[in-house]
Amino acid sequence: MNLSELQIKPALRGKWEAIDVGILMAKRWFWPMLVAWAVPAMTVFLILSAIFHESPWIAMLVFWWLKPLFDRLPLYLLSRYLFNEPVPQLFNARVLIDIYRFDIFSALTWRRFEFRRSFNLPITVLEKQKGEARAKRAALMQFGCGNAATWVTTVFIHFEILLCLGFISLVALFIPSNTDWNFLNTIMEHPLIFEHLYNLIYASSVCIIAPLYIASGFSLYINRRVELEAWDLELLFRDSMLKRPKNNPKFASTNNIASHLALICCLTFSLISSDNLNAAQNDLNLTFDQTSRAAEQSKEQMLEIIESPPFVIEKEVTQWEWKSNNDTQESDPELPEWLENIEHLFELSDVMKNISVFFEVIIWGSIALLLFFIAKHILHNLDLSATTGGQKKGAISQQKPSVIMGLNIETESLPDDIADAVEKAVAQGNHRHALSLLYRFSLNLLINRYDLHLEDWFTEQECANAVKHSLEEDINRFFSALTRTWQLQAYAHLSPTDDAVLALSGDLKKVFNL
Amino acid sequence: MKKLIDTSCSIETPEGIDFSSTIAGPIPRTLAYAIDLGWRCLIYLGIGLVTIFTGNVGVGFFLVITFLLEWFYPVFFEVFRHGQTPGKKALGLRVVNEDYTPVNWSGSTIRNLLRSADFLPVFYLFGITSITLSKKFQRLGDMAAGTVVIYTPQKINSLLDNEITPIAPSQPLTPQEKQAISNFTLRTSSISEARQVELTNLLEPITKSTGSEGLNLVKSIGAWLLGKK
Repeated sequence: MNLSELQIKPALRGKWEAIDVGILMAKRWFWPMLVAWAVPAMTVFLILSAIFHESPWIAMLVFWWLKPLFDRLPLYLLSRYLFNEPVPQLFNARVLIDIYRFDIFSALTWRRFEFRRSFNLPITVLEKQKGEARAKRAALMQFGCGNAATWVTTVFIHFEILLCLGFISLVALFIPSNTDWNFLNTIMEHPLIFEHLYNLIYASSVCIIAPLYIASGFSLYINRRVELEAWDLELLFRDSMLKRPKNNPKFASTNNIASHLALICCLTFSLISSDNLNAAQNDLNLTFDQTSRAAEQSKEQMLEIIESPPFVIEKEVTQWEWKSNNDTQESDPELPEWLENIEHLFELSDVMKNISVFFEVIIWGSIALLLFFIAKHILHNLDLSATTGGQKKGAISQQKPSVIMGLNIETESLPDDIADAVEKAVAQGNHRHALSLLYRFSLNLLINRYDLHLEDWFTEQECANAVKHSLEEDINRFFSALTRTWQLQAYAHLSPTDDAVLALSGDLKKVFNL
Repeated sequence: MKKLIDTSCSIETPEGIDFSSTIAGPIPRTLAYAIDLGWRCLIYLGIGLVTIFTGNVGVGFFLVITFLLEWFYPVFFEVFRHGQTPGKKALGLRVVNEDYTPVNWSGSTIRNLLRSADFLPVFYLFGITSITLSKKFQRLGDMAAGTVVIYTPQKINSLLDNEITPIAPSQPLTPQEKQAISNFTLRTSSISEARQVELTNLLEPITKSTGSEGLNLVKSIGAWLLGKK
């Protein structure tokens, strides 16, 4: 048993997964296992059938009773295949007798009806345990996966019967129903032949199922061994120790770092001692040269690869062919004929024309509808804004904001002669105050004189937008200029020139007809 | 050399990530089916007992229910219960598409309507044969729908021995070594003492010691790797 030759992927699996692996094992070595099962079993079966030809049920019973014995040789083979070991001369009578004779009595008497047979079989055949030791070993092995072993047996018993009945009914399905030959009558006339035939079919089904059954139980057993003896870990440990050579790559890398550090130190020292400066630079240039040459080489190699077959497919074309429309030409040929045929058959050209007109009408109609709905939507929105404006007007007359953006815009807070106040502020160099006056004054005017709807939470931009949407163009132009100037002053601390402020003041007068 | 036998199957996403799952074979799937069949039979029995006294209407109702359950019981569970019918859940199985995405209506309907093909000639013989012979353990319906039955990942709930004092490894370990050592530490309860020593002797290059001393050191490193500080 050489673990490194294990033919299944070493891993600790769940019990059901282990059974599935068993199925795969049976599939890989199906034919040798089938032969190893079927040759002795069918020989015995045929001899028994010949002896008890008057009462086939006895032959069947004995054959069935001997099944645990027939399972031994395939299991032995499987255990060899699993570790990739050579199979010893099978026709060595001593080996065969040894396999079949070991602990034969208990296997065929009280352990015949053991439900975990395929799981326990390796303990008998491969570990050569019997009596108390076998029972102890079996109890240890079965812990945690015993019920799965029971289910394996249960399911495979059903599979055997299913295969047998399935084969018979498949044959029955293929008998034509209108033939005179009555299958059932023939059977009834010769029940003995039928019984023998049935026995043969059943024995064959058992032959086919046996490798799967043995391998499933064996795989479950192997999985338990993997769990108890940590085969997978042993292989992993060995593998990782092999990959860890004397000069561990990790150590090598740390060594590398160390050598780099040393190199850097050398370089600094050599830089300090100016004599070596040039030498060091030469060294560096040399390495740069080397790396650039290597890069060029690899680039050339890449180009070579990219220009070779899998990337570039060159082919010689000696015929003229159309440059484009290839696809349509390929797919077209059938279509026109087909259409022509239809037109011929039904003289549908008028109908086709009508259909096209019909679709044209539909398309234009839907475009018109779309336009209509868009227009309606726009009108509706306009209406809405007008009406809401109207509604708000009422609301405003009751409740006009006295503070916007934290600026007091009540009439009482503003000077009577705005131009004078602005001029004074400008003369004092207080542009902020001047612009603030202008801005507040305009807001006050907009709200009180033009009944503009402004809320106390509006921003400068929202105020400007409100003006833009509701008032005439020159007011809008003035107000947006004022807003911009004010924003620059208020937030960016960029004061305008005196003239600009005065110009705004003049515009204010002009625009609002003060 | 032939490929090692294994039931796991990995799918690579366009991003280059490998998703690996274990495909379920004929035995667990048969058992899962048997459990589902048992549940359905119980339901039929219950409904049958109620409807037997209600004459033809009852029989009609019973037949309709039977039809729906027989064909759409798995579809319902596969679509709404993460690909798990009660039987599959009991066995830890799950139906997914071949790329391990959850199965959808069309996939589930196809795989379950094609049960009729798997059922031939008697009681799923073709289905079982197909599962056994196909590479990914698929029955005919699975092949048509492009689905597979996989195991839901199980959590290993082994506890760490509290007596172990964690020790940081004295040299850098590769991911494989880390995995192996932490797995070993988790599985020590099921491995005999002598075998544990035998295994840890293999790790001498790391532990620089053998015998029970090496074993304890490996366990300590394992505990440290498993996050015990």
